[in-house]
Amino acid sequence: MRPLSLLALLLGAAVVLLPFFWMVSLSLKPADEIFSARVDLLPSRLAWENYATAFTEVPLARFLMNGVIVCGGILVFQVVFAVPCAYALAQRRFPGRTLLFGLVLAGLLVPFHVTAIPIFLGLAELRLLNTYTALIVPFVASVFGIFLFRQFFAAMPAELFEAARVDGLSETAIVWRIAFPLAWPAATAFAVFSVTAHWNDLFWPLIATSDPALATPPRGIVYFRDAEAGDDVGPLMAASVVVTTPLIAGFLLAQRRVTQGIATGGLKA
Amino acid sequence: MIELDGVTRRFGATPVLHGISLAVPEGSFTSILGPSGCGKSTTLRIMAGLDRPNEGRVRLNGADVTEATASERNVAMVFQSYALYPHLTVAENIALPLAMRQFSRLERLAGVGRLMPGAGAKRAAISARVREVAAMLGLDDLLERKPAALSGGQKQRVAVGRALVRDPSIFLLDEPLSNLDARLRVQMRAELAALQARTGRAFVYVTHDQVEAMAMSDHVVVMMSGRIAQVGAPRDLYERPATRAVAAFIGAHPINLLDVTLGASGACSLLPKLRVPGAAGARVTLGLRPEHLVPAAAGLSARLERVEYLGAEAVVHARLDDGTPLRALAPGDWAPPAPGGALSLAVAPERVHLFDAETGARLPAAAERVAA
Repeated sequence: MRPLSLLALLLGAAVVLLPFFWMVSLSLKPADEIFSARVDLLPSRLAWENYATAFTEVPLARFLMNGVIVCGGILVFQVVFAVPCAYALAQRRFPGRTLLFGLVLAGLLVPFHVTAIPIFLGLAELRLLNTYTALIVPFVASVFGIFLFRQFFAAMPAELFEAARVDGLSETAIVWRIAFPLAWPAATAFAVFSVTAHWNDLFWPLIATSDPALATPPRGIVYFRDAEAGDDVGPLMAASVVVTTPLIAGFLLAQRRVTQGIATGGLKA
Repeated sequence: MIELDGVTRRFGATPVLHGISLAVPEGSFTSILGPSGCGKSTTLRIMAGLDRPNEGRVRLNGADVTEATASERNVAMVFQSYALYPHLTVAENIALPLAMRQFSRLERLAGVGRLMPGAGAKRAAISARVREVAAMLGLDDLLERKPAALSGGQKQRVAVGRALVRDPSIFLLDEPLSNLDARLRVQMRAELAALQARTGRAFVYVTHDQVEAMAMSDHVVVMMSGRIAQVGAPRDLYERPATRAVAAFIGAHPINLLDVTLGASGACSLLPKLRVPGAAGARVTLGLRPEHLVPAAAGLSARLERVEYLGAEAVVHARLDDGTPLRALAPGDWAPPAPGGALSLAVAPERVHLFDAETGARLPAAAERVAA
């Protein structure tokens, strides 16, 4: 039984990893090998020039920096808003709390694409399109973040927060000095979800910005698609590798915390 | 001192406290004693400001603090679960209440406070105070540890240290010893009482363990189903319990309660030496403590069921001739008859408690016992 399940897992992993492997392989192949009729898993020689081209043909470094600014901005605001909300929903008694939490849960059901058009029109009205603000503001309130943190805080003993109140901490101080540091696993899990989603998002940057200087990494990669000259596959794949690597590295570093955070948050991944 | 005045608390439609009025004098060690669910923890939480009464007032040193939050009242509390902050070291746990108070003072100076030259000195003062408290509680070597690396007794000390570090007007303790093993509990009991004497502050100590309450307190408040049943010194509670329920609750060995009907002259057929004038024909409950009921040559005639030998003493389980079970206490060297054998149990009339069989209230007539 054990070798069988191991084999199944290995096969599954291979299927998942194949596109990544292919991306890395293509990014290192010389141009003439990419369009050969044969399928060669490995390049005959390592064509590092694809990477040089990727960085010179388009401002890839700029795209990466935009990605950091946008994802960082979104994450910071999401945490700043979600953590106090979640604390209030989990550890404070007030009228309408259940209803409010119900609304948060309902909010989980609404896909972003439904609200995209009104948000776009609103930003246009405010003349905020083509700004970092347009890329960040629609995402600062995360119902998923509120939900994840709420589940985490609800599992914490109420006596801990009561002790803090007796010790003279205000509710705001309790949120940031007691609740948030204890919610690190949840925060890490949430950060991974948030950064992955927004780093990879092409839909909203495509709608909200047209200025290449504001392009996020996936938006920037699109610039390799050139209707006249055809796709420049080698550098495109090299850029894709560069864009994906930070996420993979980040996930590997945070892996244990993420599993822990999701397990404690009462969610099943 | 802290005073409750007609405090009523309802959870939804369920009343938990029925108009509690209570004053904890300055410098006293007051226990709130009662079975679980009697409202003693709710009372303590209302004192702390963690819960609000539906009716009634709370006064702290004369000032009305009914609507004040826990952080606005200068009270310290030790929780049953200790409630240490798991992400902070022992030193940081103890320092937090002090640091918070200092910060709020600095914040009143509109943020410039942190840059002021006094800040470093204050930090040094806090750390000196933390070390002082740690030394008092024997926590010197543990200051850099996280709570997860501490034993139950050590966590308990840290929780006490955190309460002790600032100078609160009152200490509130919610069953702080119930998670410790028996030996440690006895030791901490003595340490807490000594600590209270040293600080000279009022301690309010909630417990369901009558031994703890009796051993440590100046005053015991016995609570039963949301009402105060009796307030008094431990000795009052033991010697003159106000109700049958209090009598049943206080005492290391559960009291024997016998329902009897008094004779025409107020005499009791069971105990000929006892007479209650003016209560002829009344239904009363006799309360006989096992330690006052000893095997003797003459007395209540009973049959021995079994003996629990405890060393210094032996608990005697017997039945009266009408089948009523009775517990008595004999000295450890007492030679019991064979099980089923007859024995006599004697009680001094002044040791007998009398309660109204209907209301459970102590009968004042009980004082007028006459020797036959």
